[in-house]
Amino acid sequence: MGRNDQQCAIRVEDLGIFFDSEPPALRRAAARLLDRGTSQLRRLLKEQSNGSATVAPVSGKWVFRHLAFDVSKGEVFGIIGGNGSGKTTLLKILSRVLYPSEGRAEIRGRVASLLAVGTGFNQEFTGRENVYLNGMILGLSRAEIDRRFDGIAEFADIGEQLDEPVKTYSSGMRARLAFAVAAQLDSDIVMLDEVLSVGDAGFRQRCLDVVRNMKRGGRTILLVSHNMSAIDNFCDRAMVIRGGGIADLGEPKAVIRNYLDSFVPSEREAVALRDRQDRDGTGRLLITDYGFETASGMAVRVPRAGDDLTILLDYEGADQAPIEQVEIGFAVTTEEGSKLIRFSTESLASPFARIPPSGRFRLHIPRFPLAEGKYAAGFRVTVGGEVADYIPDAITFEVGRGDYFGTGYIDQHSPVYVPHDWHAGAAAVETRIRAVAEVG
Amino acid sequence: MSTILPEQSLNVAVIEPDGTSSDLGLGTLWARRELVLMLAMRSIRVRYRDTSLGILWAFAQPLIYMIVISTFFGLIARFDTGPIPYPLHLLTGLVAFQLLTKSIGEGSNAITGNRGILQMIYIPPVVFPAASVISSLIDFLFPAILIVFFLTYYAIIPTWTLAYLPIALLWLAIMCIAAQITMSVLAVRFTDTRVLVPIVSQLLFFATPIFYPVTIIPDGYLIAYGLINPMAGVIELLRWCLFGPEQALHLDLVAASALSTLVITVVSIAVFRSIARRLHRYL
Repeated sequence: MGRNDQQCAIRVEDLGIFFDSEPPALRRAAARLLDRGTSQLRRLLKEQSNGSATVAPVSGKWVFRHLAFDVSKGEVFGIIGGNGSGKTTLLKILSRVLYPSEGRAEIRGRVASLLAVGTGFNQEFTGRENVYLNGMILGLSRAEIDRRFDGIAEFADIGEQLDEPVKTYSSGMRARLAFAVAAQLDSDIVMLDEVLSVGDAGFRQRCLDVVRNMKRGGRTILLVSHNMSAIDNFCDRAMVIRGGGIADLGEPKAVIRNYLDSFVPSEREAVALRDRQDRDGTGRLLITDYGFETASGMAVRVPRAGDDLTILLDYEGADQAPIEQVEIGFAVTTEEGSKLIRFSTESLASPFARIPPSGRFRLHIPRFPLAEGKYAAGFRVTVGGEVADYIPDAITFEVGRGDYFGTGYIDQHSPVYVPHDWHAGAAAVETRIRAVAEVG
Repeated sequence: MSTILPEQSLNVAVIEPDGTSSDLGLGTLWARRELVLMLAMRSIRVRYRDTSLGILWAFAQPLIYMIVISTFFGLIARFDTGPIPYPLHLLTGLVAFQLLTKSIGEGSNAITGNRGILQMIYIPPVVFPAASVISSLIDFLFPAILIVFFLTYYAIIPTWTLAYLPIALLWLAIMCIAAQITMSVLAVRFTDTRVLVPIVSQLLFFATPIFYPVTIIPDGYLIAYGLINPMAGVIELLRWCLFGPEQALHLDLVAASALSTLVITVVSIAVFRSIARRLHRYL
């Protein structure tokens, strides 16, 4: 065993799993018998067999195949993928609930897997009893639970109701209790499946703290989540499972970016901006293409809130002459068409006096303000005061979830974000706010 | 970092296709004994917690059967149960038989009813039928008290044959275990099992000397009867232990049933091990 082996917590080699959708066993046996009977009959009738023996086709599908990756000791490893991509199945295999159909995996250390928070809770039992039942299901002994009980009760924060049946609990309380038990497991490897998406914001924050502590404690963590900012914040590496294989593996930021980008249907497959007929204007100048770019110059398809973003609008003039006195506006609406923001040279009083016959407009937004969602945008270009090209619903695009304020808290009730600050104090400040409001 | 810590090298788990669960045995059960007891307590408490009569229901079922059947057969067909009062004869059969049917029924639910847990958390599946066995045996204690009550009522004083009672009880427990472990995995493997359970239980009721004495079986068929239905031998032995030597003991029947029990137990363990190894496929 080399030194490398010792530092590896999980090693997955050529792993694959096949889910067969076979009919019930007895019916299958009956079918096999019938099949044998008919083939005997055919032989009796001296019917020519064309060589291909009637092998019952195995119906089913490979969830994934040929997965291979290593997770080092103490690493936090994120797993991303759409629904049904096999993330949970992979965790199930690694926690020995399912067995693979091919390949192998090696696990070094005690594993605690939290595939479903609160599995095995008994509705009739009190919270206290369920702590014991759940702890024992997860592999703790009574004495170990006794020792941890106070810590569990404190984390779950259920108070007096701990001695009431769990059926009287809210779903948030149930999740807290379950996660409290799980947080007390001491194991070398922790597998978390979407645990970070239950409960309210405060509870999620505490779960994140637990994960942070686990990470600090040097535990190896496998984290399956749809919460990209959690993956981004915690993981040392991230992996995308798609189409039955590893689509991407590497540094979380890049992996997440590519992953989100891949969801946008390629606009170029639809009618290209260049070929759109539903446009107004003289045609002195036409917008032919668009794109997004981050500060580093990387092209992105799904911008995120907080990004230092540049929107690119390629144009071509009707002839080879430079174009003069150009104004441009770019308006973003919701998917349904409600106006959100318009960016224009008019409002900045900075028209382009003279631009080359073909080129690119660059709209720079230092901190992109839109929340996660789908949006539409249109543009309007005038040359010498006359509309040259106008498509109100030129493009649709998607925005990914982003941490605009850099606090880790993503307010989903806000469709747009603007820089702001809060103050509290004596009336002087209030007066100022009132004064500003009056002026506004 | 060049030293290899012994615990690290010991802790490597290899996951491979057709991985077979190696923890099917008694060692696993011992290691998980606290969980097994907790699960057993859970099912007992859940069963009686919300009923207004609570634990009284455990007495009610055999008592009601006893009253109805003894009235019915007392009217139309008087079975000759020798010196033993017919209701008591009936009750011993009913109580023993109830343990078997409950074992069959609960066994078939032991693993299927905990699918949700097994699909999410790794637990050796054997803990579920084990917990179910314990809860059935505890459940059996209550109607057993009923027998003591009626023995007193009919002023039947146990004789030296009572010394053999532990053998009869152990035998019953073995039947219970065999039924539970077999049914627990069969129900997972073959969904049809559930439909069959009530039918088989009904048939067994008639095939077991509950409401009729063994004496109605022609002598030549006793061994075959005991082989086919091991419950016949257990109940025969149980009655002999309780009612004393006046209750004739058909040793050939008991021996045949014992042999049959042995075969059934060995087959049960084999069936359990073979299906439980690949249980994850059928869950």
